[in-house]
Amino acid sequence: MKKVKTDKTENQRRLLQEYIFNLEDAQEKAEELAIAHEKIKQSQELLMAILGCTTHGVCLIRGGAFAWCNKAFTDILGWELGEIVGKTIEAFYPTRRKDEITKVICGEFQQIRSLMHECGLVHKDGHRVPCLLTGHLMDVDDSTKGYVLSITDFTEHKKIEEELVRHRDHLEEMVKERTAKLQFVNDQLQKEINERRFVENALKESENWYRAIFDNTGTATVILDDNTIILLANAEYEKLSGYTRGELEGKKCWTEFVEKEDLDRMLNSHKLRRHDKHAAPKSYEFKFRDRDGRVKDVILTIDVIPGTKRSVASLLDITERKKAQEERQKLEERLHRAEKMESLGIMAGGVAHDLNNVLGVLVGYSELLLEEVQEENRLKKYATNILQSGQKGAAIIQDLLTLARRGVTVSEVINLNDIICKCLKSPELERMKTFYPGITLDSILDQDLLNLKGSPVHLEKMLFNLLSNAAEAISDCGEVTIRTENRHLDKPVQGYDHLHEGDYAVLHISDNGKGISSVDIEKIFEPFYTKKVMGKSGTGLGLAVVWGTVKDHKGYIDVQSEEGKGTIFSLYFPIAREEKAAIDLKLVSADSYTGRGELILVVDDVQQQRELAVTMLSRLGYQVNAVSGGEEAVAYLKNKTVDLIVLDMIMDPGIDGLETYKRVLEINPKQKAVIVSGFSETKKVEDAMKLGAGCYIQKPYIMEKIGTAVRDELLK
Amino acid sequence: MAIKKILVVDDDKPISSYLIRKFTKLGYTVYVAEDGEEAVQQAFSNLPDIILLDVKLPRLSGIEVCKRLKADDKTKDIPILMLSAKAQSFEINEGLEAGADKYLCKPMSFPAILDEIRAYDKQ
Repeated sequence: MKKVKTDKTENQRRLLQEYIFNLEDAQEKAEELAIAHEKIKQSQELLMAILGCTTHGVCLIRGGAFAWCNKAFTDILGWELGEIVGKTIEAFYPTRRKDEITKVICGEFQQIRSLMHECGLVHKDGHRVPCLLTGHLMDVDDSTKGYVLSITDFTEHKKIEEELVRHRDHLEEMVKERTAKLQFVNDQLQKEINERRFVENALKESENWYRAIFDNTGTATVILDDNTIILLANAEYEKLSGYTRGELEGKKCWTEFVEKEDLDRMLNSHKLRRHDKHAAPKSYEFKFRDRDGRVKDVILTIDVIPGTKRSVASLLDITERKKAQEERQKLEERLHRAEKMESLGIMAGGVAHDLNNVLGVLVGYSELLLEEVQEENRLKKYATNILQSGQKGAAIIQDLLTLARRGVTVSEVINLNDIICKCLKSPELERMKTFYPGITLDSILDQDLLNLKGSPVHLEKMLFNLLSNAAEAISDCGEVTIRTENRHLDKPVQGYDHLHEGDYAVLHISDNGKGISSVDIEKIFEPFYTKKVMGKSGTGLGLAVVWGTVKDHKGYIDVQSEEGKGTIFSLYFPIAREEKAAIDLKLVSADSYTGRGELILVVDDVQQQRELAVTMLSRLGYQVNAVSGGEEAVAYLKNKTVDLIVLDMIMDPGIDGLETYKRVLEINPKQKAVIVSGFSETKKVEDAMKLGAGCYIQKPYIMEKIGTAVRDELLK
Repeated sequence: MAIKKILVVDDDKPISSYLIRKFTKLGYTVYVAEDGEEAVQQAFSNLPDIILLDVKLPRLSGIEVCKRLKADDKTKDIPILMLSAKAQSFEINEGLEAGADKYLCKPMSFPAILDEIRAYDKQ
């Protein structure tokens, strides 16, 4: 019994356990269901909220008609919800053919689960709304559940799209425009680049050109900075300064090369020039000092480089040129002096003839007078004075003629020592010594002195003049020395004269007199330049004659003088290698030139001369006739013969002496003649002598001279 | 140790299936045996963290299953909660003597059973 009860309890317990578990399970499920309901409700609310606020239109189509739609759907198409529900899709999508959309939505194509399509739906007001249509089958297995359709209004989108297209087009246009502009700018730039390149090349070329010019001007050229520094120098400047470019450029100032005396002036110009280009001289001379301290004369040409503070300067070294210029000036002075002497000589020569005729009369008649007058008669003294003055005048004329240098033949080989010895013994010198009693005269003669070619008469005269001059220079007591020597010059020497190289016989005349000032020494050889007391001895032509004589002998003169100490005249005569002729010293006695009644015809256009010659020759024992011209003489000789004619060379009017002699020779080819002229030996005299005329007598003449000449000729 | 694997032994299907559903829902790994032999097999092969054992079972009783498992070193530490409709004191003693760690009498609500199991969770 108990067992049964136990079983029953046990069974009951088991059932109860099952019941509890079932209860627990049911309770749990009920709780879960409630939660699920709540969730669904929340989902629905969420869904509706989403559908309510989305801008996408959403609708449900079931059985081909609209079952539901959200607010956006009504907003897009303009219909109310009530107006939409129950309508078919065709109401909003009118199309004649049944396309995919219609088919799908109407359930004809149930296999198509979803679609996406762009189309235009009809708005309530009739216009088409561009829409994107997407659809989805609610339940794949059960098409009756319907189709969910979503539409998106494309109006704005389209507008934006169109706007975008427009913007894009506009942008493209802009890009195109900008590209064109850029291309243009680019082209411009390229053009500019090309131009610049061209300019750069041109600049480079120009730079090369200027560099080449700068380097090859042949003149020292520098570019100078404002602060006097040398920026650039060319090769010529290197030569001029003695520095290399490396040592000069950027390192040296131009001021270092300028002599102190010029520096301030140049620095001032440097400043002025930078202030005003034209304020300072553009070109001037200055003294340039080179690296070795040598000072050079330089012409500077300078100018400021436009637009800068720098300047370009060219320096021309004119040291040599200046020297040459000085040389030339000296030469010109000498030439001038020589020309002056010569022209004076020519002038003197021109008047000499007429003067000689005058003097001839004076000398001749005074001589005749002396013979006539008794020894004790005081008229004798007067006549002597007239004779001496005439002779002195003749000497002056002779000097002038010497200066004219027309009568000097330098063909005789002579030795200066002989000339000196003769001069020292001459009565003229003895007379001179009496004027200067305080003076001693010495001679130191080189016994081996070489010969020269010359005219003894002129050389004697020259020597006498020099001695006379030396004596004059000494006021009271002093010495005059004559010295001779041989001298060889192996190179030219610039003394008073320009001495050429060669062998010379040299004559020195020195005195310890008062000397000659440097101003006077330039002029001492000029005719009529004298410091002497006129009348003592001077003609003013003494040294001029010396000069002329030396030049005639192709020699040179050097003068060294110091005031208060004395003067040395050195005369250089080119030597002659020939032997000198034996000196024929013949003594002339009065008997030797007296005539023996020979017939003589005097031809002279000047009446006094004619009469003088007739008188003199008659006295000497000749039978003399006279005519006044050449034509007359020729006519005379056609009819008569004479032993000799005394023929004046220069006659006017009518034919001259030479022509007369020619015509006479046609009549008598052996006709003897003596030429007489107031002029120095001329070409005409020379020609006449070649034709056969005898000696030539210089007017004025004394009786002895003409007598000897006539006698000599008759004896030939 | 934490309890993760539970072996449910009961020949009453509505009960075992409800327990399986509930334990699974709570995240436990659940093994099921419908008789004593299967229970022993499952215990050895799966080594659950705890065993919920019915006493009245076909082929081999719950008491015997308990004895065998407690006799084997491999399974002797697995806590065994006996859940039986047999609620008399000797029956309870027999179960405890057989080695069961707790003897629970049906009917019990699932939360009460869960509490008993969780009590071993911390041990």
